[in-house]
Amino acid sequence: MNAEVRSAIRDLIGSVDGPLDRQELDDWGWLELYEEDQEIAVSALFDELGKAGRPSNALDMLLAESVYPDVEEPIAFLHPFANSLTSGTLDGDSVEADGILLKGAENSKLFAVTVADGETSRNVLISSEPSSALTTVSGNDPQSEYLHFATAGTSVVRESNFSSTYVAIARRALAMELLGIATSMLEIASEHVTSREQFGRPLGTNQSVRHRLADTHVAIESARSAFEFSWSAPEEDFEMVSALCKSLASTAYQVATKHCLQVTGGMGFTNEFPLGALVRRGSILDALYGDTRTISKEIGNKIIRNNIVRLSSK
Amino acid sequence: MSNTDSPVSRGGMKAWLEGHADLLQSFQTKAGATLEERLDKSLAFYKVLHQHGIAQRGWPESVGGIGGDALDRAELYDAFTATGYDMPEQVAALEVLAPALVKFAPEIAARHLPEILSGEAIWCQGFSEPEAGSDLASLRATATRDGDSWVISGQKVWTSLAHRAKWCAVLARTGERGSRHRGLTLFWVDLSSPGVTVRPLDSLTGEPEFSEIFLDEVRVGSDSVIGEVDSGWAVAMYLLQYERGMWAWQRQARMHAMLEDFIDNGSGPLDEHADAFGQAFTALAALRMRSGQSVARLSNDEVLGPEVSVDKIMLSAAEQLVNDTIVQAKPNAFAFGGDDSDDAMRSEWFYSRAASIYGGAVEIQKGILADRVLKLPREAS
Repeated sequence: MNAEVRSAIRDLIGSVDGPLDRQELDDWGWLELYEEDQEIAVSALFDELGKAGRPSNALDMLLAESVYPDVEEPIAFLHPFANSLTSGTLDGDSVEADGILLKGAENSKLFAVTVADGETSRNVLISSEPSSALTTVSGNDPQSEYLHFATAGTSVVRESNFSSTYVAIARRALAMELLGIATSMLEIASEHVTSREQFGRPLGTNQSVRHRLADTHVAIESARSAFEFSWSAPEEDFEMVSALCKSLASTAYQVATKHCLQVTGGMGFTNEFPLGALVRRGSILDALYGDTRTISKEIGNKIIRNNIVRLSSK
Repeated sequence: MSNTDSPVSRGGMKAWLEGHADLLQSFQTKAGATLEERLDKSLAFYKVLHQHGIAQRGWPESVGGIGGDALDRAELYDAFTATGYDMPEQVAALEVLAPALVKFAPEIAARHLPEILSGEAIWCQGFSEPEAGSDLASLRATATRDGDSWVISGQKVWTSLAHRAKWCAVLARTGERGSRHRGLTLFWVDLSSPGVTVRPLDSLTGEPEFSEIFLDEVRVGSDSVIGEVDSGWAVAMYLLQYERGMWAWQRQARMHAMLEDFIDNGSGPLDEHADAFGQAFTALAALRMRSGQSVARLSNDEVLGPEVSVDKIMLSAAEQLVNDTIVQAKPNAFAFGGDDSDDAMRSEWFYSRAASIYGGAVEIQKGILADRVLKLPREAS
């Protein structure tokens, strides 16, 4: 089933230009698939989106299913800037929001904002006419067409019952997408060093080149094992496991960037070559909900206070 | 087997060990124990575990086990270090060699497995030679047929625990010189045979864990062949899955205990090291998840293939990172300290440097991934 699903998702991605929006995914039937098998739905979609380097607001769709499953209207999640897990503050009933929206969010009137709540955080819905509050983010990947949304004094329309575990769901999905990106980067670099010759032989006959790409493979598989493990992790371990997923995927992306750009040399250094686009796209996924350094600090602080947990599968 | 114990179901191993803490009190980890003391304790520990039907878990009944599989054994190894016991010294060689014996020499397994499970014996693995480390297929120890026997001559090196082992799986050349991997046979050798000399090596760990073995016309019977004559390489390849897969699981169990102990007892606040400990734990948790998956596949009789090189590389990185992180949080103790625990920290740190060397150096592992997984062009010579 998995291979068929992936093939169908690749066809969908191939049939659309530019960012995939929620409507296209919904029409395709992703929500039904998610209901049937969450693991296949999430891994196939985010992996293939990553491999294609294609932006979408699939993440919002996934989070809405988890956090507001009974809300029919499309919800745009306001994602935190890097080094933060909140995208707004709450004062009584009034929300001051400042965060990032994915392309496709401009069609929503409901925005999900994560606000601090003492030691933790929670997610609330606000209603807004978006056009007044939106500016385009060009940053490192203009092709993703992210948007910056900032507004103040908006009332809470609805609270979620959800704890900050929604961050864990976001992290795991983003990890899979980053893995897809890293996998594509490795494929491109491997193909390049197999065909490109210098000194009368392919670049890939050189040990340093082979070892760089082997290191990239190890980093990717390390993260992939964590992602696969996460689906059988017991509830109480999920937050830690998903943080590990994002951290390991962030590392895989950084390692892939370093080695793949290096071995593709001058050719890889042009915008014509497919690597640069993946590097840019990966960088903004890396920045959402914690890169490897951010999460290492978070995990480190947790374990030195509470001691470590040996992860188990159900 | 003790009549007072009912069978332990999967998932119940940790609770069993905790419930029998009084019985097993004397086997708890003690700081400052020498290698010999730890070996004696490991043997005595397994003797008691065997009496209670625990040591036999995960091995087939036909060879002295009580049934179960690799997952049951993995659960036991993890439970040891989670309840205050050192990983028993003999289980490393047990896991590397016993599965291959069960598969390729079931009679040898049936005759010898009960002894190691009951704490009566230690085994070792005689593969590497002074001139054949990474290039194992070039090994020179010979085995020559003489009637119904084989006569083995040569030298093995870096053999863990050979100085206390009863039996050794020796890889020797039965083919012509230059036959490389095609002319090798694995033999089950009694180390008390005439012609065997064992000499401990003075390694950086400061403990006599590794030895050279000199084999001077050592005679073994034809029933000591493991698998087929000249097919020793196939047996070695099978055994490597356990050496790379299950050993990674055993090491993560040890390292979790090291981190747990350090955080519980580490002197001084660790706040400034939070990032470093986060990174170390991330690498260790990744190893646990990965090696757990590999062990599950082994228990399904799946062949792990070249992807198990990923596990070995992850192991060396995690083990070195965990040790570096601990040492860098206690630099005075490491450099200048004179306590038993400081000696142990140094010994562990040095041992961790070998993690990227033994069982196939990481350079070899990366080459395997490049050739067989990424299918990159062959290395230029």
